[in-house]
Amino acid sequence: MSTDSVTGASARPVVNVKGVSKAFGDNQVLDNVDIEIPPGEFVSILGRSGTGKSTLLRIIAGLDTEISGNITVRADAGVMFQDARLLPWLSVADNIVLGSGVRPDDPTVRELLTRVGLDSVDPAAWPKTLSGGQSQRVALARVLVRTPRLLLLDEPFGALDALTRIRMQRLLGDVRENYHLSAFLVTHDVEEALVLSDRIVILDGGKLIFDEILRLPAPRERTSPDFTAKRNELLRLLGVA
Amino acid sequence: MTITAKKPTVRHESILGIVIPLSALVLWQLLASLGLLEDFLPAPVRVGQALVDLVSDGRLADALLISLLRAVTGLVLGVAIGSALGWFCGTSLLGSALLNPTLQALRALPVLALVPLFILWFGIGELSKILMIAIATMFPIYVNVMSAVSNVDRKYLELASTLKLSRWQVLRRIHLPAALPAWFVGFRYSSGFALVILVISEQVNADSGLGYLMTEARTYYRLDVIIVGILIYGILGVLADRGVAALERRALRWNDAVVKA
Repeated sequence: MSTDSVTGASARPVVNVKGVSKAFGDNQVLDNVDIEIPPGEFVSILGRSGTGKSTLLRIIAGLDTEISGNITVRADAGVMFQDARLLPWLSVADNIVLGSGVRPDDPTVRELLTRVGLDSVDPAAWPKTLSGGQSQRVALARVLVRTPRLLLLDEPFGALDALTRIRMQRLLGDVRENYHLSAFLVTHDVEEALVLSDRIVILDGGKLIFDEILRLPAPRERTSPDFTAKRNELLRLLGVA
Repeated sequence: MTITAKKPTVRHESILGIVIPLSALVLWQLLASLGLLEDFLPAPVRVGQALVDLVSDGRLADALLISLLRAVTGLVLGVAIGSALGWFCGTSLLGSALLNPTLQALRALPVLALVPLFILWFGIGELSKILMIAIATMFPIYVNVMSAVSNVDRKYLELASTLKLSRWQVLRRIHLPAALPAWFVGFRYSSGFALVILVISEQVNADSGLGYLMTEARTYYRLDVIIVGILIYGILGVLADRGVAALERRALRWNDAVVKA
């Protein structure tokens, strides 16, 4: 077995955001934001629509570079978007290995398809033949084939129906456990954040107004009193309850 | 139990489709046999005889070969240049700012207006005809490829950035396939244009090829040979269109995957 460098002496954060600001016109969506993600930690960010959660993720992913402040990412990152973004003209297998250097007929592709619960899907199938949930599973396989240390997840299950969403959350939890990944999840779904995260932050008015490590027993039961109490607290902070 | 819908099958439709041409042919032969088409149209059997003669003495094959060579060479040249320019102007702001206004202006110029100039410059040899075809076929490809490439979904380019794709991979995996449907739209126009320009340039200035065969026939009042020429051009047009359509279906399989699944 290979040694895990993450458990070594230097547990430097995989993501280090320092004093990052971003404005769209007069709208200051990020105002001097600091956040660190230690290795192996699953952080979810909540916030009302348009608060800049996704902008922060895009900045960390390197998709938005017109900012002030400093970003350090010390890990290979895999990004999942709300839409699966499979290229419609490439087969499932070709989509998974795109740009990774792995051959589409490599056994790894089959293994990954099984890993994400798609053993019944033909690697040669066109993306158009897949359902929304299946497409997102392929997108997850595309991330995993690159063996990232960090997942950047921009509302990856936001467009899925409720049942598929719960299945995908379980899959993501498993995958993250097995691969010892750090993650940064943008979501609107408070329960999703509570089920998956080690830590939750809330963005409001360009600033992080809440940052807390969750102390809920595993596995997280949506019906447990601790869970519902925490959910209500978060909803209040989001101005809902 | 199965329920079959009342719908004409493909076979029936193709039979219905030849009713009118077949009737016209019969009528044509009938009128010609009655001597009503004298000096106007030779009978179908005489056209058939002319075709057999032209095939057996090899003149048709020679003419066809040289004509096809012109059309294909010009088309390949025009499509290659149009694709390259379209990709360049579609991906580079500098490219489109520099080249697009000029190309759009040139596009508006009817290419046949260049015929007298090209004859003076290049004579009536192959070069002038090939260049005419190349110029005419370049623009449909250019316009379609440029707009397709510049309108590639930004989401895919973002994905490319998160996957750290190289420029070459972005071209091959994203720009090229994304532009392919539009490329085929352009290519269908281009192959049609290639034929039109071929016909005209061969009849205006040539000493070989299908058009020359027809011009020569006109001098000797050989209506039957002229009709053969027209038929051959028509068949070429149909074959080109079918060929492009078949290529398109193959290349864009991913686009109708749902239908087949």
